[in-house]
Amino acid sequence: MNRLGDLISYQKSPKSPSSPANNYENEKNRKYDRQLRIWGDTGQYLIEGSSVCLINANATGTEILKNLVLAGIGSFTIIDGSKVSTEDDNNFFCDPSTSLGKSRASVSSQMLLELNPDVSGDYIEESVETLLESNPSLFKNFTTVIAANVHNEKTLIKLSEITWEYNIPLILAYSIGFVGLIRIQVREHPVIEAHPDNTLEDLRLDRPFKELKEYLESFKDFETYSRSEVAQIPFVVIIYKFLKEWQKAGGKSPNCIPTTFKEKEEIRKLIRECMAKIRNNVRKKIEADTTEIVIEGEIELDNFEEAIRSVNTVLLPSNKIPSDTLYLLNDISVEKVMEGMVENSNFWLLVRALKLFLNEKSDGCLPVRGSLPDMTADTTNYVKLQQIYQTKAKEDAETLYSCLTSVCSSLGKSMDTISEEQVKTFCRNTHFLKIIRTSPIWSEYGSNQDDKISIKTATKLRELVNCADFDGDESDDLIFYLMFRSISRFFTLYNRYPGYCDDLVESDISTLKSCFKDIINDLGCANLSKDDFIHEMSRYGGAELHSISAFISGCAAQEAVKFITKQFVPLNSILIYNSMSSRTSTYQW
Amino acid sequence: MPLDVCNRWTHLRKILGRNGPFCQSDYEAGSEALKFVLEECKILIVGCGGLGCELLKDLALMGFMNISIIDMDTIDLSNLNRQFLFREKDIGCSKSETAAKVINERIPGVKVKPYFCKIQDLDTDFYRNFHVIVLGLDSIVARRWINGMVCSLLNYDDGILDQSSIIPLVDGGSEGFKGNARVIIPGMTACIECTLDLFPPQINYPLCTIANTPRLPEHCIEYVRVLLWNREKPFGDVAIDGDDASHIQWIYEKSAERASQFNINGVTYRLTQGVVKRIIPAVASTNAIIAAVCSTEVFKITTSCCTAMNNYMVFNDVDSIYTYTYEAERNPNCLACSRVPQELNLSLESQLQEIIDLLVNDEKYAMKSPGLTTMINGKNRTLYMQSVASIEEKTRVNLKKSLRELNLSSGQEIIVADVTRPNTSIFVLKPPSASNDPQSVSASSSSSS
Repeated sequence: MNRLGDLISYQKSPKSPSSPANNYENEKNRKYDRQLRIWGDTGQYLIEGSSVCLINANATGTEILKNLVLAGIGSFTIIDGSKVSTEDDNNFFCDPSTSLGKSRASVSSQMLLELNPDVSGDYIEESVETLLESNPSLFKNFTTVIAANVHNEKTLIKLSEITWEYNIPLILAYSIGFVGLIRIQVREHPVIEAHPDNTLEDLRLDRPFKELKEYLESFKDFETYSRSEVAQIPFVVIIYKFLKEWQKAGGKSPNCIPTTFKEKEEIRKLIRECMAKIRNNVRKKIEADTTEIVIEGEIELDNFEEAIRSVNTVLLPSNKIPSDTLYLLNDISVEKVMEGMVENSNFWLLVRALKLFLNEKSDGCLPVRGSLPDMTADTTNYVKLQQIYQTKAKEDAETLYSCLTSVCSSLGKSMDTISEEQVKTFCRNTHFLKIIRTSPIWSEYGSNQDDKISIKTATKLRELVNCADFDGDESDDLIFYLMFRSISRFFTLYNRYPGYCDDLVESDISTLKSCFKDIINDLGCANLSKDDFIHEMSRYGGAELHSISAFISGCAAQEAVKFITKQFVPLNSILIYNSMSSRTSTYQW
Repeated sequence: MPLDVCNRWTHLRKILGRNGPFCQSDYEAGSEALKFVLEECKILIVGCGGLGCELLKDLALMGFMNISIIDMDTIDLSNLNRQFLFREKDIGCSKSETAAKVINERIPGVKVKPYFCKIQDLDTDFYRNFHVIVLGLDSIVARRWINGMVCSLLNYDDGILDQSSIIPLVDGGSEGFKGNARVIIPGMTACIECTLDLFPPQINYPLCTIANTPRLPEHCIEYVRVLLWNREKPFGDVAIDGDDASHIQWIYEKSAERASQFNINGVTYRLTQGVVKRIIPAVASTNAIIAAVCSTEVFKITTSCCTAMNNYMVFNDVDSIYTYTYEAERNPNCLACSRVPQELNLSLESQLQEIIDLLVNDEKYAMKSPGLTTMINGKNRTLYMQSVASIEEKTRVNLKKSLRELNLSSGQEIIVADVTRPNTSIFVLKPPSASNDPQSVSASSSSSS
């Protein structure tokens, strides 16, 4: 039940420079080196402990598993009741020329296992329909469930209900003709380590803590430094100095920062003026000095240039909490965690502790992240500054840990499951916390029922469809969602793809057209007629083009990795790949 | 059990054999396109790493029976997390030969021909053979070289491009959870050289930082790699081998030592190896995604069933899944694909070194170690050449000489060779006073061709 209870679950001890490299240089580390550089030892540990379920070992399915087996998942289970047929000639892990008529689950699991001796694999030679009837609780054993080209609506609803109940991520992957689709379902998936691409630094120049303030103010008037010294002053010191001057000149409060372009320009102007003065002084000194060997050229002030460039990105209100983090702090689970009734309880305990930290232990700022970007500076100044931030980050993490202790003790809960290392990781990432909660897949099928979730899903979906522009060159690819739904309806009724047989393409087009109409009706959308798309989907006849499957499989495997490692932010919740126009679109409802 | 050919390729038959409303307007559904793919179409894959293995599998399963693949590398343990055609027993073997063997055995009818060599070892006649060339490389220089090759194959008749001389390039790249894929129709759409600025800038730490004011663990590692290695020669007079654990171990220990002197944290064995070998993080799934996009484009180009991508896609799935496809623009003065003669607007008083600096530092050219020759009085004369030590020694003296001293005058043609291209490029010396537009470094209004 508590799948994500143990959020960061395991941290190998960090390696100090003195530790023997042999520990690192073992075979497993070398094999996985290129990916360990992405998700680290903790991510790899979780991958190695995962068990993945694949429904249908078709080209899309086996390619997904291939990507995961290479990454070193603990185990996989293939569910597939079909036999290898000539149509499997688009499937690398199933060779019809040698295995025609054999169990596809067995043949493909064997071939997949050859990829990586670290992985164990299993298969069930039964259809998912049968298993959902006979052994539905089987599905709760998996870290992630992946279904490749499963179209039967009843199966989809049942599968979605079971995985929803156990909060196990479900990934549906489809590839037909030139189009692919991925649908993700997860009730709740918190992300601590999102690894965002472009982040703003957390330097606290508007609200410097005591040690930082002392350091920043320990600098004298810049013009009194020697030529070599002045060029090594870290840019944060320069910005801070002129922020203070700007505040003083404008009669502003000590926490005030420039917000408009004009105000920022005022600070940049102060910095430029100072640069000019320093340059001038150097020039004068050179002119006056006739005895010493003159150092040629103008003084380089890269640090001042860095300061000018950084005014925009560094002078930010430190007490502004990012909206995603704020959303979490106000989430109902923060209260409910005290009743012991929530999923991901360790995560919510941390968020609750963070709330306590913000209310009682800080001036409204999140814990200091402790990172410092590289900048022009001499070693001593840079290292000193870095230590100041790191020490404060460590203190904040300790404070948060004590907040967590008091949260836990008021709850009568032990602290055993959350380590200090996990708290540190959490503190480094409080600016980037995310929670993914998708709508359940079954709710897309239940617009006639009157449960709240289905009504909400249907409303959102209807709105999206009604507002989309389905005409012209820039036609909204949301149409393909409706097409896949229509194909599923067709498949549910006739147990085959529209256009599967050459001589039935024409008649299938009109049948698919009526399926499309039904779907539009079910969703309560305005009338829509898209004959060209229906024709296109019918002509595919369910054909799986290997490269389209491989694209969808790569994406689906990546999403599985995100769920398993609890790092990076998963898709919420639909991806459509239109390879005719070489583009993807994502939707959420 | 032998497989009846008639039962094969059912998926492809549907896609290529039936007309659809979104087919390219001149596409005629039928068996011709499939026949071309299966029997005639010749594809070259350059690189047999993470992307190359995927490309080979994708294309072979899509009916391309005639594939050649080049790679000069052998298999390493660290390849196995993504290069799925290789096993532990294959470590040390040729990548292209191993991959070809696996595919040839696994997929009936396919003929993969491996080339275990450098791209430079094969000539124009070899490259001319293919209908499409797909690149799965991590090296920018190799991409530029192949790009230069296909551009040099273009034929112009009275200034009109002969369409039959075009060999489309499909290029993919990946790093971590990010990647890109592009289609290049040489002479018609932006080529690699047109868009050099799309490559991420190389990280180079200034020497003075490394030597005097290190701040990051990387600075300490670079100090050992760049300065200490040659000074202390721990393993005699040998270059650093990133695959030799004892070399990395030595660099790691010395870097850790230096870091502790400066109170810098964070030197680890993994980081040391990453910096020394310039390791790019990689996972199976990103490679699969990028190779799949490239393979789809190869399929579209060779069958004409759909319009090819126009022309550049970026991919990133760090946060959700994101792609962006746009039209990268041609550079009208591109050195590789424009046919516009390149001008050097330097005064005759400039030193030869300044030409070298321009060719290396100007991001339009971004050459590595250009060699310059010219014709004076009908005789070939080497002005400067770095690649051959004895010639370098002889011509080094020229670097400090002015162009005038070297008897070069306005209109003189200087022939430039560089590792970034297979052929030489001709630059015309145009001192600012003689140029129409003294502001520009390269001409845009020249009428000669």
